[in-house]
Parts: sequence; C-alpha cells; structure tokens
Amino acid sequence: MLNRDSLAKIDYTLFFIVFLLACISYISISMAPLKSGAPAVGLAYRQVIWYVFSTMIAVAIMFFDYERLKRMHWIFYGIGMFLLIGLTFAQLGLPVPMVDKSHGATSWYALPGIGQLQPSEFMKLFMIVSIATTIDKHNEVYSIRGLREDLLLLGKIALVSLPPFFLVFIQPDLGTALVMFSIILSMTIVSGINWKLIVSILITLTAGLAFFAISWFHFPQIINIFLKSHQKDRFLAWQDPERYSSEQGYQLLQSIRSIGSGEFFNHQFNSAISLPESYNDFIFAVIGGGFGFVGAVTVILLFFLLISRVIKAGAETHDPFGSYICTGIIGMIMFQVFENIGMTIQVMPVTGITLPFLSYGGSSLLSSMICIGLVQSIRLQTQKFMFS
Amino acid sequence: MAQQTVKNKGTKNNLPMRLNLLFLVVFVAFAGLILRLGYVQIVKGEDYRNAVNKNKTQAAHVDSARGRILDRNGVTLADNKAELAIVFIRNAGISAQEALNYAKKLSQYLTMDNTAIKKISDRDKREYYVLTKFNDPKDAYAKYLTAAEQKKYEKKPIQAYKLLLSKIPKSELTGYSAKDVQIMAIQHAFNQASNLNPYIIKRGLNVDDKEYINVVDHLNEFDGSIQTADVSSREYIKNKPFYVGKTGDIPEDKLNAYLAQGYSRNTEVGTSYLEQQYENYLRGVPMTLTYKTEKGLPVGNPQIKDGTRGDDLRLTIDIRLQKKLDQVLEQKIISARSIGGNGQNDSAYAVMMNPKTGAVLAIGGKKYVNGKFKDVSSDVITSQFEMGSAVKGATELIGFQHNAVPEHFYDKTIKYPGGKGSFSSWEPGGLGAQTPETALQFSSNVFMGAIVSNMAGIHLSSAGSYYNARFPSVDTPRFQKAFNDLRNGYSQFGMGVKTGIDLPKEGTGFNGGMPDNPGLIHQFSIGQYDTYTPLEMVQYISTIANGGYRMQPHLLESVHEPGKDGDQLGKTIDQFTPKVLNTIGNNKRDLARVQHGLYLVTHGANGTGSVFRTQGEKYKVAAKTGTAQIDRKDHSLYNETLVSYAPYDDPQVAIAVVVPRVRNGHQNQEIALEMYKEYDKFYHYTSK
Repeated sequence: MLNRDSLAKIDYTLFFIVFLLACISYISISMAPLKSGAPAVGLAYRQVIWYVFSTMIAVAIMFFDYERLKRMHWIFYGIGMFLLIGLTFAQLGLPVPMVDKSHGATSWYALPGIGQLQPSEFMKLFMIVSIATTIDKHNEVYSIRGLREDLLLLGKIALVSLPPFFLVFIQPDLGTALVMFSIILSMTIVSGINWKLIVSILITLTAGLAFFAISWFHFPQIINIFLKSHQKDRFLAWQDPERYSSEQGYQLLQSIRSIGSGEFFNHQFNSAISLPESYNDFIFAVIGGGFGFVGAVTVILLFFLLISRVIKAGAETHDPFGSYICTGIIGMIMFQVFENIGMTIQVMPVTGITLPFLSYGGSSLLSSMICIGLVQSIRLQTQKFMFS
Repeated sequence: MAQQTVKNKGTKNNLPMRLNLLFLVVFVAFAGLILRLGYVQIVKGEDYRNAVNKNKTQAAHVDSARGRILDRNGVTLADNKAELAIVFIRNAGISAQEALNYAKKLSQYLTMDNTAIKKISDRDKREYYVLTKFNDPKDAYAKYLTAAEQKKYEKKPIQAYKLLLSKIPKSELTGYSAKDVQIMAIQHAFNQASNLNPYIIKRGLNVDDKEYINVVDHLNEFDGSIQTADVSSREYIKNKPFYVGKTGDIPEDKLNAYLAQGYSRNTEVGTSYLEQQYENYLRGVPMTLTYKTEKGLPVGNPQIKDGTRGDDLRLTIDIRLQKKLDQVLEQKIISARSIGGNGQNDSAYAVMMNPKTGAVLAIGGKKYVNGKFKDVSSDVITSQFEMGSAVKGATELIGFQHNAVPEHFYDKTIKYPGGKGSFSSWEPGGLGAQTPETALQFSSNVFMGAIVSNMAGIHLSSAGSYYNARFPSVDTPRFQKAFNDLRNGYSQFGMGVKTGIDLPKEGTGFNGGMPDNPGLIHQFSIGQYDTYTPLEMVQYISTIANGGYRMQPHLLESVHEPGKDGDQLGKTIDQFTPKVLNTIGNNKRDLARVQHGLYLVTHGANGTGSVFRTQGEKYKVAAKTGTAQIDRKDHSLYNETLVSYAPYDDPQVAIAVVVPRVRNGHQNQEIALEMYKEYDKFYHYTSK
C-alpha cells in the first residue's frame, strides 16, 4: 500500500499546520497558571506524549481505506452509544463501573492507569461517519428526488443523530451537544436536500433562537423548563460577569482580563492572573494574554487554514461519502473553535468545550487527530481515482 | 476497487458549492472573533491591564466601632468603650522561629490572662515543643520520623509536619513553667492571625498601664509585627434587657459565611437577639489597609481608607417602662407568694405593645430562684403556657365567622355521655342566661362550649339543670373541620404561629394536634388545649383592640447614621414601617360586640376583671382574664393570665400577663394595672 504515489498525495501542509498547533499547545500549556500559581509545565510534557501517541493513530488511519467505514460504521456507533447509555444509567443511580462524576455532569469514565475518557468526544466522530453513510446510501438509492425523498433523508439523519445528541444533552454537557448540532446541521446542508427545505430549517432555527432570547428576558419560567440552574448561571454570568464575579462569571472575567491585558503584542504572561481551567478550556486566554492580539489572531488564522485544507479535501474527492465526512469534521472544528474562543471574550456563553489541538487532554486531542487521519485517508483515495 | 464509478452526479455537482457556503460561514465567524479581539485587546487592552495590576495588592481590615442601641427616648442601652490593645500583624514571610522569638520577647512585657491561657491547645504545645527543643527542625524530623516516612513525605511538608506533631509523646508535653505557658498563649494568638489583618493579642488596656507602656517602649524590636491599636469593646446598660443581645466571637459554624462578607476572623459580631438581628446596620465599614505586593508578599506602607462607625438603632422600647415592669413583676411575685396556697408560684411574665403599630414597649419576665430574682424575660417570646379563658374573645370571633354564636344561651353544666365527665363554668350552679357580651363579662365556659358544639355538630339537649351532650366521632369530617377551623381561627390572631417579631428566633407554643376525645374541643375553646407564648397573646388582643389587624411586633423603630456629636442621633436612614400580617374575617358589628364584652369584663357588675373596676376605673382598660387549670388532679392550681388594652375607645397600649401556678389572688390584673398607671404617667392618655 505504501508507494511513492501515496506518499506524494499526503497533504503535508495540513500536517505542518497541526505541527504548528502542537508547538503552540506545548508553549501555552507550560505557561498556564495552575491553582497554586505555578505554570502547568508537567501537563505540557504529558501533552507532548499525547501528541506522539495520537499522531501514530492518525498515520495509521491515513493508510486505512476509509470506505470500509461504510460497512463498519455501526460497530463504532454501537460502542459509542453503549458508553453513553452507561453514563445515563449511572446518572439514574445504577451502579456502572468506572463512571466519574465531576464538574456537575456525568460525562467521563475513569480508566485506571490511563486517565479520564469522555465518550462524547469520540461519539462526535462516530456520528459523523454514520450520518455520512446514511446520506450516501440514501442518495445511491434515490437518484431522482423530490420533497418526499428529501424528507425521508431528513428523517433518517434525525434517527441516527438525535439519540446521541439527546444523551449528551442530559449529561448535561451543553457544549458537546451544541457541537453535535453543528455537525448535524452542516452535513444536512451538503446532503443534497433541496435548498427550499434547508432555508425553512434555518428559518425555524432562527425563530427558535429568537424565542429563547425573548423568553430569557421576559418569561424566565419557560427557560426554567429547559435549562438546569448551573446552565442558567452560565448565561447570567455571560450577560453580567462583574455581578456574578464570585461564581460563574469569575472565569469569564479573569479570562477577558487576561486576553485584554495582552494588548497588541505582549511578551510574557501576567502571573498576577489566576485563571481556573487555564490549561484546558481556557487555554486561549493564556495565548491571548501571553502573546497579545498578534498571537491570538495567528491561532485563529491557523484554524482557518486548517479548515480550508479540509474543505479542499472534501471538494476534490470524487467520492461523496468522503465529502460528507469532511463536512462533518468542518462543522465540528468550526463550531468548537468559535465557541471556545468566543466564550473567552464574551461572544458566547461559557460551556465546557475544549479548543481542538490546543487544550490539554487526551480524549480531545485524540479525536482531533483521528479527524486529520481521516482527511488524509480521503486525500489518498482521491488521487487513486484520478490516476486510474 | 479502482473501478468504482462516480455516483450521484446530480448531488455531487452542488456539493462543492455548498461546501463553499460553509467556508463563507467559517470566514464570517472567525472574522467576527478577530474584530472582537481587536476591541478587547487593542481598544480596551490598557483598561484590562490596569484592572489586572490593581489585583497586585493585598488588603487588610480593621473593624470600626459598632453602632449604638438606644431606647425610644434616646437612652443608651448599648455603647462602646474605647480601649487600647496590643495587636499582631502577620506578614506572610514570617517564619515560625521568628514568630517564636517575638512571642518570647513580648512575654517579657505583657501578661496574658487566664481566658487566653485556656485557649492553648494540644497542637500549640506540640509546636512549642518542636520549636524550643530542637535547634534545627531537621533534628526533630530525624528523631520522630522513620527514614521511610521522611522519604514518603519529602515533597509534602504540610503532611510531614502534621505527622511529626502527632508523633511527639504526651509525656513530653507536661511540666511547663509559667513563662512557657505565657509564651504559648501568645503563640496561640499569633496563630489565629490571618495575613496582615491586625489580630488583638490583649485588649482592655489603658494608656498608663505598665504593660502598655512597656510594649510601646519596645515596639521597634518587632519589625512592625506588633502594634498598638485603639479598639472598642461593647458596654451595656446595667440590667440590660435580654433583647439587646450580645456580641462575641464569630460562631465556628458560621465562620465561612462571615469571612465571605469581608469580616476578619477576630471580629466581634452580634451573636444573639438584636445585636445579631441587625448586625448589618451595627457593623459599620471597616478601615481598609491596602498593601502593594511583590511576589505575593506585601511591601511598603499601606494605603489607608478610613472606615465608619456602625449605624445606631433606636428601639420602640421605653426603658422607663421596662424598668418599672421588672420591678412590678418582682413585687407581685412576692405578694402572690405571701398568699396562702401560692407556694408553687415563682414567676410572672408581661409584655406591653402598641396595638396599632406593633411597637413593643417592654418585655418582662422574672423568676424567684433560691431567694433571688432571675431575669427570664426571653421566655415571653420562647416559652408556652396554657392561657385559659383569656382566649375567649378570639373564640367568639371565630364563632361569628362560622355563624355558630347563639344570641342567647343558658349557662348550665354539660354532661358527657356515659358519665364520662362534664363541662361547666366556674360557678357550680351555672351562670344563667348569657349573651355573647355577658359570656365574656362573666367568662362563661358553657357559652364557648355551645359555639364550638354548633361548629362541630355536637348535640346539646337540655335536661333540667344540665345538658346532655351527644358527640360525633372525632373522625367525622365535620368535627375535623371544626377543630381545624378553630385552630386556624386562633392563628388569625397570632396564637400558635410566629408573631414575626424582629428577633432571630421565637417560639410558637405547643400544637396539641387532633384529639382522640371529641370533648376536648370544649377545652380547646377555653384555652386549655394548645398553648401559646405571652407575645402571641399580646398580638392577639392587639388584633381585637385595633379593629382586626394582626400587627407584626417589632423592637426596631429607626436606624440612624452616626451623629456628629457622640451622643446625638444622626440622620435617619431607615424607619420601621408597621406591618399588617393579616386581617381577621369578621365584620365591624361582631368585632364591636366582642370589644364591648371585654369592656364589660372590667366595667360590668360582677365582671371578672374586678380589680380594674374597683381600683383603676380611670385607666379605661378593656380586658379578658384567664385561669387555666394546669393540673389534671389538682383543679385549684392555675395559670392566671390576662390580655388587655387601654383606653378602650382608642387603644394606645396593650398588655398581656401570665402568672403561672397560683391558687389565689389577682396578680395578673394588678401587674397590668400598675403598668397602665406607669404608662399614663409618661404618656398621659387618661387626660387627653
């Protein structure tokens, strides 16, 4: 399988972007202040180990024929659902081994010797593959399509994606649920469904958002039905972090202060700032504070380039299945980057989402690197078609 | 594999277009983030940088003097006494050895008293042992920890230290000299001090005390860790009424809550009654000392922001009436005990309140113990008593609410079926024909029995000189409803529920639940089933006096800023507004009839309130007496109670009295009458 052709088809630019992100990840984690005020140097080393490990996985996936996923997707989907249902059972009070409850949610398994595993991180990927398979099979069967066929496809997508979405939502992990939603929406848009239908879905969503906004300000009792109090606190803190500075707003306030004090181009991170979760969800606050506007914009541009490489892969492949997978990955990375960076500068409310490739954490990094592996695999196959 | 055909041309064609649309979304979203970053970092960057640098300081607080507590006429009940103190200011950089040296030095100039010495803990002793017996702490670790333990805790100094302390044998911790004890007491105080907040080592000093002068002379030996300070301690009026409350150390279990509000560990806070209830007003604003920090340690002289003294409370209490009440209660206990058969009496309680506003004027309670009087006035709000016939005014009004009051009813004994007891008024032969008004005047039990019988469906059939009663079962809905209606009715007047007085806690009396014997509803109607606090009783009679409004009793009249001159009251910043808790469900006519009945008690011929008729006509009192049988076997042992108000045509003051465990006499009426006289002396209501 390894031949000169394949090696030439690898997207080295994409790998280089990831390499740059890895460097930034290492530097920023080793600058991030822990509770004690000391920087998280130890964690930065472990992040390097995670990078090495997940790069090997990515390379392995690169040489794996992703088309076989069409036949195998349900196995992964099944494993993911099994783990998520396990968490739900634990939430209901049933004894499920190794479940770890923390941060007010039931989202993790604690694996002895390895650390925490967050099934929803991987379920995102399994969901992408399963939705891609669903769309691909549907389009194969119904080559001539009308409203009925489109609605049928929409129903199938919902059937595949809503169960994991719901299970993650009730963990409660609003952040990951929203990422899943972004994936579903992106993939629906490229699934070939008629424009008019897409536009009406978007209008419905906008109306829903408007309804939420109006309820928030005028009918709090409606909000109470949907959101648990700790989720509501996040919105309150988002609106007015000064007032909630002792609780939820503290993170936001510290994060925006850190980023703001980075100004145009800082040269060192201000150690006077204590920032909870700085090496993890709030790593961007460390980057913004440590390297100022220049550093922050560099990171955003790197993500933009990375997404453009994925879009290129998706647009160039002749296999729609590959395109769908690329779209799912774009939907995922785009939303995670926007939400994570947005929450550090008060554009979005604070939710527990990691910044792909940069935040400390094995689950998150591994799932991001699997995406890179998949995209490379799609590129390798693409070239094959062109020369055959 | 290579021969796979391209599928779905139609779909495929618009795929890149839609992907580009997603690309556009990504572009717009990321551009938005960059714009926002530009605003936060470039436009506002400097502001944020300044905000962060501001955090590079550390603040310490020094408490200001508490506000004063005054009675309604400005007589001081609680004040502050200025005194000098020696304080310790902990700097984060100080080592245990340095602290010990300071303590040793300080012990030469200062003597710690017994309370301070008692605070020395086992841990203090162990620390002292380690510090004094070993020149180098390493030696101590080497002696008491095994090599394995030393290695295990190499990077956990706090645990290692804990283990070391626990390993010191008890036998080493004895035989300290008086000097050692002094040093340990000072060390203990040092250990309580949190960073930079001055902690008082010793207070109550005067400028010419020898210890004080000694310390001042040697201040420069302590590198600024020991300072003198002006502090204040709470000073109360002699025979302080209980409701003023106390101050003290922050209670252990509430420490975190107080610290969160910016209190320092050694602040004196209100720990009971009004001192606790109105802590927020009384506390004042502490002085703030802001230090710049470098690498977490404070440097240089602090920036000082002055604090302000706490706000003053003006109470509704009239301390003249309070003192008189205390005195009258003692006199009347003595006079009651001098009457034959009253050997069991040892206490008396009374409370005075403005029935229209709920302003409490005086709360008194005295108990005679081993030849001395003890103040038990807090029992007025926390202890319950059987109140007997005093509740009858409420019973009638509840009856009116349920259309259960007969216009006329003949008072004669009610006999219970099967010879199981009877229910009658105090006159063995019965009181004869009664109306709602006379039933109060003569205190007819049978009339009240008739009202609740009507409510509960108890059938009374006249048979010569008595009635035969036929009871429904207590399980019948009608009986249950009547019993609940009666209890809810009493609570409309405040009986059996919290009065809402502005104190941290109060009692609500004892709720007897649902009886297993239906005849007990008769006892309930004459105040011999549930029990109530005296404060609930004054709220109840006030509700009748003021036309049907249950007023929240309150002790706070107004809050004032500290005055310019020490003794003057400053600007009013808060005024207590009288609060109606609920209104009763009666019309004016029914209420007027009950008020008239209460007038007849003290003015009609043979009314039970004879003391007011014969000795106090002038004071225009309306009242209801009560004699609650409190012993199942000994029917002549009573709680003598009274609820009253005056003047009956425009009530200004209401008084409730309880004199427990007597057989004879009218101390209940006499106590109230004395207090109406005293009230008139100051407020001249009879001459208006």
